[in-house]
Amino acid sequence: MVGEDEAGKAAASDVEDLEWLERFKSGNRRAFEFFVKKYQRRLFRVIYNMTSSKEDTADLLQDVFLKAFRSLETFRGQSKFYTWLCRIAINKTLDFLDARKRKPVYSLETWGEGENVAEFLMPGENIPAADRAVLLKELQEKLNESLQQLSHNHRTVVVLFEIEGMSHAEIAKTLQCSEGTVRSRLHYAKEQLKQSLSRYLKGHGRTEV
Amino acid sequence: MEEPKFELERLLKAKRFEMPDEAFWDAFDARLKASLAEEAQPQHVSWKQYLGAWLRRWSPVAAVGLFVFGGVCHFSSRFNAPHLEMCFQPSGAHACRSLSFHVAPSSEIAKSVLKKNVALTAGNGFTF
Repeated sequence: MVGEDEAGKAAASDVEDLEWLERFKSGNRRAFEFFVKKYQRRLFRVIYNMTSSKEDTADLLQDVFLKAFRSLETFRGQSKFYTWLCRIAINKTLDFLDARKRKPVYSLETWGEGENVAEFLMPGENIPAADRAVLLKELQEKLNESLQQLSHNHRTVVVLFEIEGMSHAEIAKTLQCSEGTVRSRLHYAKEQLKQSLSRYLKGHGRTEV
Repeated sequence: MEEPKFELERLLKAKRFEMPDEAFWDAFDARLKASLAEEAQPQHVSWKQYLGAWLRRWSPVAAVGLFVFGGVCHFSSRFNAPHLEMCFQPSGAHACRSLSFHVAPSSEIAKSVLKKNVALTAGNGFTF
């Protein structure tokens, strides 16, 4: 039932995209703002988790929307609009990462002492606020470091599947590769992450007392 | 204190909480709107740029068109129009001593016109 509900929402969202697309193509350039509002946060998450830099993400996101604005006339609706947009974002980001010679400078949105993150990660844990903040900061840094150690292709798949919540099929369409490739990259990437984050994972490493 | 342990998938999902505040999005929207407005503005193009762009776009088509046109003209003149061939002989009072004509059988009018003209000049040392 939940699955059907989700599928219904997704289909309605696709129809809505096509309606706004028609408005754009019939000359209403302001219709593009609809797509910006709808997808800017999702695209931010994708780019940000691949670059680990807020400033670079802001620049890349601008480029992505400008490119989409210029090419929207050529979008034929053969894939979902978000898949098309996400492909632009991934390609721009991969080009940027390939060209980035310098060591990446992390510029992260902090989890800080946010109750939401703590509640999400440690539900019911009775940890003093100060200790919790220290732990969250350390965890976030280590997690980002581990993600950045992955190759660009492996990181892309992890970001799209685990963080963005896309299906294997959607990722395969976005990256224009087979589902098998997506699954194998995901498996390898998670093995890598498990190794580098073993200290913090259930069933791995030693427990500090 | 015992450190809590996590599932990898849950740790990765927690990255969704890393989202900038509203001030960031306000600044982002303002910057993007300015860029989009600039993008939507009709660009002023000088006639030289326009001509250059037009030539870049259409010159291959024009070249092919000219080639085809030239070919058609060449072959149509070869098969339908009278073909004049002059044979120069160095001796004699006149440099040009003989004329030979190859006239396509279908071009009766052309043939008659040529015969008439050649008849006029036949007395001037030409052989026909």
